[in-house]
Amino acid sequence: MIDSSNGKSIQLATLTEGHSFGEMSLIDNLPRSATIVTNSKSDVLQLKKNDFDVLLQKHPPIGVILLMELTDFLCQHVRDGNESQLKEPPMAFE
Amino acid sequence: MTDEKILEELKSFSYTFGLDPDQLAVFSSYVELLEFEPDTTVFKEGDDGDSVYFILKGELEVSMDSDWGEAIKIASLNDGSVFGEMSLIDELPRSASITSRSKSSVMKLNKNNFETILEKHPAIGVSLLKGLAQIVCQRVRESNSSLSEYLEPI
Repeated sequence: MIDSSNGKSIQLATLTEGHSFGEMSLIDNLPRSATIVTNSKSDVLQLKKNDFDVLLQKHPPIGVILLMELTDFLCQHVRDGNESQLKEPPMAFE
Repeated sequence: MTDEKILEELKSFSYTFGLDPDQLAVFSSYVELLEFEPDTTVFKEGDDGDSVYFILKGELEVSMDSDWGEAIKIASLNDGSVFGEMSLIDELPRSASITSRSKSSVMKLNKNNFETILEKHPAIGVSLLKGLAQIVCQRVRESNSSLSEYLEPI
């Protein structure tokens, strides 16, 4: 979910088995860009920044694979965002 | 341009990617220098793409084709900016067009050399990928913030 300009939350997506989230703050150290809420009882694996940094430093070949996956995933976000913003003329948003 | 000159020019990127001088020297041996005249298309949206570019000098424009048939200028890029990283990573067509608006010098790293770096120099690969990932994160955040301005709550 993200907060709209008038302060209400908007559901952007539903994540299920096999999805990952939270990768942006891990990479750029900036605040979370969206809110994540569980809709059901869920099991999730967490990789903390500190362990991530150690992993990249001690095992660069694994780091390369992990970073390629995360970056690929981020590219998909950008492409989805581009798509949704250029589908209709800007007037339609006003 | 000699290898030493390329190395010198690339120093501005060492901060972005956190490469030490030795790593930067290795990295510089994998890139090539391109010079563009004003109003030259570097690549067009929809092209197959396999390279990432680092702007040493110049001003380049990012534009996208809208569904209503108009090319929309998205951004202006200049010294120190990076572009083309998405197709390098996800191997999908170019998501935008890039046009050089001034005389410009750009370093190009192609997919082949990128993969060689990742394989032979994984520590450099990690730094490079972290830098590229940060750039893509920034693009996602910019896209999200314009999205939340437009969205109406359900």
